[in-house]
Amino acid sequence: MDITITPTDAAITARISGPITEQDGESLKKAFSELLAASQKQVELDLSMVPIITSTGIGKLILLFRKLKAQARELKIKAINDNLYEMFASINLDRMLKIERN
Amino acid sequence: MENKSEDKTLLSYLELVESISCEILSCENKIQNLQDATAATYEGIAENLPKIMDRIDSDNEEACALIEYFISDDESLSGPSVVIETLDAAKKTFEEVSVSIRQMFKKDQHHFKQISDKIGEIENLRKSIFEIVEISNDIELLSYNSVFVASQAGSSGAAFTYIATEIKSLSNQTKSLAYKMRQSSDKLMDNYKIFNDESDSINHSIKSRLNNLDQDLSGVFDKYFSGLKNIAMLIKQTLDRASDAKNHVPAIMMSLQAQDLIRQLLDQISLINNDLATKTHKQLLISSSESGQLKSIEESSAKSYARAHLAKSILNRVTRKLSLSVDDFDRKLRVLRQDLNDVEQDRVTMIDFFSNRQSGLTNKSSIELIFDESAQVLNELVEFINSSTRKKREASHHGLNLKQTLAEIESNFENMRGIIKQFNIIKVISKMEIAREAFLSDNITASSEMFEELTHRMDKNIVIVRSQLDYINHNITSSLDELENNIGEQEKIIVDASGKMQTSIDNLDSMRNNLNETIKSVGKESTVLFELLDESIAGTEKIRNIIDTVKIVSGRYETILEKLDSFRSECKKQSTGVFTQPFDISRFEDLVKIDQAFSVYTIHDDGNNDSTKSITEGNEGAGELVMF
Repeated sequence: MDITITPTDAAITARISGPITEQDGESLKKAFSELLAASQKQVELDLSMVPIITSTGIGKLILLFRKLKAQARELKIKAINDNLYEMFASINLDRMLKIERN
Repeated sequence: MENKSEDKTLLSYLELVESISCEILSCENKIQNLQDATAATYEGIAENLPKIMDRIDSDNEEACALIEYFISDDESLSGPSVVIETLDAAKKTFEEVSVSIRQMFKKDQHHFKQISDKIGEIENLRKSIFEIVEISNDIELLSYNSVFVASQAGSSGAAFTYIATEIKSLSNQTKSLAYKMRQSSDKLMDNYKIFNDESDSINHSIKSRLNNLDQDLSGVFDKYFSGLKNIAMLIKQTLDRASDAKNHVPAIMMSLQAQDLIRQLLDQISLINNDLATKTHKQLLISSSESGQLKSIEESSAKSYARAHLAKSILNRVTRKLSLSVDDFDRKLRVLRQDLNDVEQDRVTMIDFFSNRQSGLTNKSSIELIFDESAQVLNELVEFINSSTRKKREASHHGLNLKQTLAEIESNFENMRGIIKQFNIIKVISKMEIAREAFLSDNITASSEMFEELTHRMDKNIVIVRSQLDYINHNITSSLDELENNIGEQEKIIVDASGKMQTSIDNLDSMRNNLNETIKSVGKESTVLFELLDESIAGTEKIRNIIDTVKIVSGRYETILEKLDSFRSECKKQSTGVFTQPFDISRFEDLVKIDQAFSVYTIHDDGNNDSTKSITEGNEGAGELVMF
């Protein structure tokens, strides 16, 4: 899994590529900490290149959403892989997160 | 003079030995403390580590069992889980209901079509009744004309005036009845239209619902299955991750064992301390009774120096290795804690999302939402089935109106027939009158003939209406009866199916609550596990503090060495040639052996797998201890 973080004036975007597995917990945590520490109100995740996600990713994603909400900031999934979207929808995560489909 | 000097040196050395003994005793006490404290701490940690592994196992086993019992779809584990079984049963019920609805719909369509086909017949009946009304109007006109013609015929037309008046009176009744029949036929048509529209509407809504039914049902159950399966999978992943973290434990135990082995090397220092204290005294006692005391003192002080040096060296090496080993152990323990903490955080976060109310999910948990949204579709389906049956029943009531209207037409028709009979009697009388009064005017004869023709036509129409009525009555009545029976049967089936569907929905509802509570329990924090880990981490801190204290002992050996060095320097000044020999370890073979044989255990990593790690002891006679 690779993460590229691109900040702009309006938003900070993390583009994740590759499956998110148990081994990616640390790097995901680090990247999410960077997003949490950023000053942009809008935080965007590009998950279009993520075919699968394990509990490591789901847990941290929910936590990121909550922490950003507590900071009065917004998390938006600006692109998502179809497989991932189906999985999110099956557990109703699509209802909580703001998701833009390709 | 020489003896006096030797005595002085001996006394001074005895004082030094006494002072060294005190230092040695203090060192030994510290080392013993280190031995005892570390041994106790190691024992505590060593007891905790299997407990940590057991705790991870038991926590996981419990959680896995719950997940498998409730939502696992792997039947090979322990048969179908409770939720999957309930869902399968519900799915089966709804599929059966779906098949029943399709069969009922087919039957309904047949009956509705049968009744719809009667529209042409009703139209014909209306036409016939309209014709009767027309004829009745003609008869009325004819009766006016007949009265007029008869009055012109004078006395010969008197009888015919009576006939014409009768015809007029009957014609009025005919007209009134024909009017009623027409009204009834309009009503029949209206009722029919209402019935037909309702049938169409019911058929249409059932048909479109049936088109989506399978899709909706499969959507509902897919949502249940995929949602719950993913939840189970994600929880299972966190449990597996906790189990994976357990793989750190053997390496941690290895590290602990290495520390314990290193610690045991302190025994060697105790032996040297003992030698320092006892052998020096012994040697001195021998020295004092022998000649050449200075030589003995020189050898004793040199060996004491070498012993103290060796003890200090071993102590430094042991404490350094012990510190490194404790650091390694502490790091591994903290990595395990961090890993478990990470898994715990993910699990607690996810479980909270799955089983606790979320503001982003209309104040429901993810599980509740899966169940509630699906139950809503199922409830709507049950309501739709029930309301369709109610509507069909209402439609069939309109069918009853049809039957009632037909009965009205039939009763009017019977009255009409009575009038027609009277018409026929008048027709006969009229013919008789014409025959009797041969000279009656052509007009009267023409009126009579016309009346006869109208009566004939009326008769003919009455026969037609009769047959049409019979036909319609028979068909509509039998179709309506069949429809009634069918609806009656359907109502029984629907009551039964609704009950089953409701039971399924109730089962799913109670399952929803059970599952929600169960998942919550899987998310409970493993406080005991973390307490054990924290206890172990605190243990390493304690060992580290003890090691720091023992480092002071090294300073005491340094003092001993300084004292011995200073003593020997002084002796060297006074006794030329005796204290010139080297006094390091190399001079004493037994101490060299100890120094060489002495080694500190090190851990060798033989590969990625922790279970292949081994501990080897020193250079010579290195042993290997495979721990796991």
